[in-house]
Amino acid sequence: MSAETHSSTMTPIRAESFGYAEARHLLWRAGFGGTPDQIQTLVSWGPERAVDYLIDPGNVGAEPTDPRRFDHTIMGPPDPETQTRYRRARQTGNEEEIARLRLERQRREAADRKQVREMQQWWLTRLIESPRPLEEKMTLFWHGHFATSYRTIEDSYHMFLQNELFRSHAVGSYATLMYQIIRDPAMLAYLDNNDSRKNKPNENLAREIMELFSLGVGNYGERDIKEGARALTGYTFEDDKFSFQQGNHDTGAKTILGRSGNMDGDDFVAAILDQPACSYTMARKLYRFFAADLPEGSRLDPATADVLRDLSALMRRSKYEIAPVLRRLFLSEHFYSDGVVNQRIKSPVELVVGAVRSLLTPARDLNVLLDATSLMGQNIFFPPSVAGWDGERSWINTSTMFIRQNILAYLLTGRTPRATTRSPTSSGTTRHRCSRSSRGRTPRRRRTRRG
Amino acid sequence: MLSQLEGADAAAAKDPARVIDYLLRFTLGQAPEHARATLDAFVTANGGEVTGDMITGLLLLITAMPEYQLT
Repeated sequence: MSAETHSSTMTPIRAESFGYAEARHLLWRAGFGGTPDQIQTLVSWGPERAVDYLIDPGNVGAEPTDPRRFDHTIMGPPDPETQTRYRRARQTGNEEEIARLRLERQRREAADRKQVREMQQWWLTRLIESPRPLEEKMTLFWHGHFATSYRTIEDSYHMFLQNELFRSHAVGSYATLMYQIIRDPAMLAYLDNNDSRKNKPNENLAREIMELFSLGVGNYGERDIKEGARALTGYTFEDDKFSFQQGNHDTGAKTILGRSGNMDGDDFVAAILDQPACSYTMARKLYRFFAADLPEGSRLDPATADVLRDLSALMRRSKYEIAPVLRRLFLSEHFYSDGVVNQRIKSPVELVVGAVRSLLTPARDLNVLLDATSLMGQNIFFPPSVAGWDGERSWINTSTMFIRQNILAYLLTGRTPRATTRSPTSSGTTRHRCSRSSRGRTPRRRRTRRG
Repeated sequence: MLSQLEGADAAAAKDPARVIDYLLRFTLGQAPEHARATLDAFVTANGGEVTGDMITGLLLLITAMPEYQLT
């Protein structure tokens, strides 16, 4: 799990070196493991065909999700009649009517919590069954990168829309995702940009975009945050759609990362993408997710440093397309070296989904699996903070090891592990709070209402 | 689970040592020596015959190993 032992390079792996062990490794990293037959199929294909298929499986399983699968109205803005009733009740001091309306609101919130649980089941099923495992793995990567939690935004449909956004650009363009994320209702609510106005810009989104989503600490200044926040004023949403409110947008001159002018959100993102630190940060993050951990502050060995430089340069040349970067990594000798193979700790989702997919166990009860992943520290749609999951060594402690072993025994035998049995009093949505707080990063306050 | 092993050599799927090799290679990649010894002892203590229950038992032991937590 250290980056100190890497030795090989980005030289492409030779076909004759791509055997059972290499195909097995590729299936785990570019997906969630494979059966013995799937491993053997990849061996027979050779590395190029195997990697190309994982990155682009064509139309296999590519049917789009029906947007009506989930109810988009639950947390939508109240209809005009309800708004009128509420206004009248407040004006006349009709406490009974106010209480009735409040109860209706609580019922909708409860229905929405139930729906987000259904969404967790839906995504877990996709993770387990999808014939496009890299697409789902990248969706999980983006979910941890552009981390947004239902716990804060309390709007399940917005979480669904964001999840679909990540899936549609899974191995596509990171640049496009950056332009889309500043228009994403879930993110705009999570980082309070819907409250950002020209006379009172909110800095949360501008700060996290630079610190966590692109450049990394040390590659921008406080002024860039302030000016970036001004560029993002007026970026909000109405119901389920992005809305640019010209009246709330600061049209004054700004200087961000060396660029000046009447910059808006797109100009802000363009200035970020132009920085070499952006491609390097993203190359490093992809490397940590797919290859090996690079603990903060650790010294890179020369080979790993070369790999990161190579991937970063390719990312810039490919204008932030992810597929060529992953292809180069997955086809490199480095990816199959001793410093990479069996050096990452499976995330809870990798552990559970991988066991079902590779050992061919029944999925059994999705709620048990979801509760287990949550207890192991990875509750999908509920990342612990805007920094996402810390991952790697933080997945393992004396508590999570029990859950890890119990859930595998459950999958293999069907015996319910006591530690993950749902309490009869638990609600549909687990309220387990992850004990690992990623640097205590949580949005400053809740802002959840639409409209 | 053993279909590939059976396809290559029907007799191998009945041979506990070959089955252990096959499962370790599939689940852990490179298996540590202590893993093989543990599984050999389990098979011996449980009659030595490869059955469905035996496979499940072996997989339970393998997935309980620290190495299974790695990818």
